Amino acid sequence: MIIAVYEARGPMAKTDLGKALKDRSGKTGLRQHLRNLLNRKVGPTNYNTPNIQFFEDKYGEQITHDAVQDIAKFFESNRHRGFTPGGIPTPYPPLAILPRDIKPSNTAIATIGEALAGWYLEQLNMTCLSRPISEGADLVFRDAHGTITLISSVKATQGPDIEGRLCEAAIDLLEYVGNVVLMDPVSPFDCSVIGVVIRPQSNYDLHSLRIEVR
Amino acid sequence: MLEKPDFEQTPYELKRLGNLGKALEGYAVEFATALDKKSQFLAEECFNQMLDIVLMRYMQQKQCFPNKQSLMTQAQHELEEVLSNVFDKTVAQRYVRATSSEYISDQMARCESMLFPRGRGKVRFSVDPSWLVSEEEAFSHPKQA
Repeated sequence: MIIAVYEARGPMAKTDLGKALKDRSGKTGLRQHLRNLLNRKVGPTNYNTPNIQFFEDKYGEQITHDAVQDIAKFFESNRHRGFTPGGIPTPYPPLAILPRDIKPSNTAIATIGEALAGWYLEQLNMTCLSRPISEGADLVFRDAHGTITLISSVKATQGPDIEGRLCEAAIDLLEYVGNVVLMDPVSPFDCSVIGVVIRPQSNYDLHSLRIEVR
Repeated sequence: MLEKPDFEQTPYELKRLGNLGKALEGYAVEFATALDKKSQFLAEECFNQMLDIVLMRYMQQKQCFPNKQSLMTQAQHELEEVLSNVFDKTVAQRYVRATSSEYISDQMARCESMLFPRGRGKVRFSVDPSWLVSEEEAFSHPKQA
């Protein structure tokens, strides 16, 4: 079981951030800039999957028990033509629920995403300060020296176009960071959107888009 | 269950493990340090966490308050006490802003809209403060002019 990590990173001046978020054309330019960063991403770097339940307990917003098995059952069910309401695979659709009618648990998906995001940031030698009370971000981390604050948002999916989702999430997060910068013009902030793609057999892709706001 | 790590735990980990007293002290230190470094965002974030922990403790102790104002006043008093206790006299002067009633009042006023959102806004603290206020207050009608 493998996590394939892709990393995209780039700087952004605080003044440029303000201009980019000001209007629609600014955001269009920002979206293109983020896409360009993602096109230059580095990776994959492969890691063995950690104890996800440990990180779910540590970073998950909701309580889950074995989200990995929850999702594995979803993928397994999708391999068959259908299964009975009791969850038994069957080749006889008239008596069965069809795979297209089954949706994976959103809680399991979200929690796995948060767990792997927290795990990944720990690999970068960062420490979690909090899950913010206010809306706008999922996690606040700091670097080993306590000088850089990293504000992170997490998106998890088993669907396509993770990079499109990362761009949109990054714009929302940069709006939040833009307000933080107004409050706190001196401190350095990193804005980090982490996208986790959940694949069958408990393999994962982790995409990190990190903007260094200075 | 979280496994206990073999290194000193952060306030975040202490809070997740349910060690609320130590977590509150940890965040108090982080709060004062952030103010010392003029990092307003981190200071507010740490203050939010401290208030969240105080509300969690009230919930654990099954405390009930007659009205919202008494809840806010008691919470402020507790936070002031934690902040003044966590620093000994040798460092207190450096963190005078973190321990000043005026500054803490300002922070509480900032938190009030998050604690009591208008309409059907979601309370993002771990404990909805309306759970801590007596039924009489929850169903009270506005006073006639």
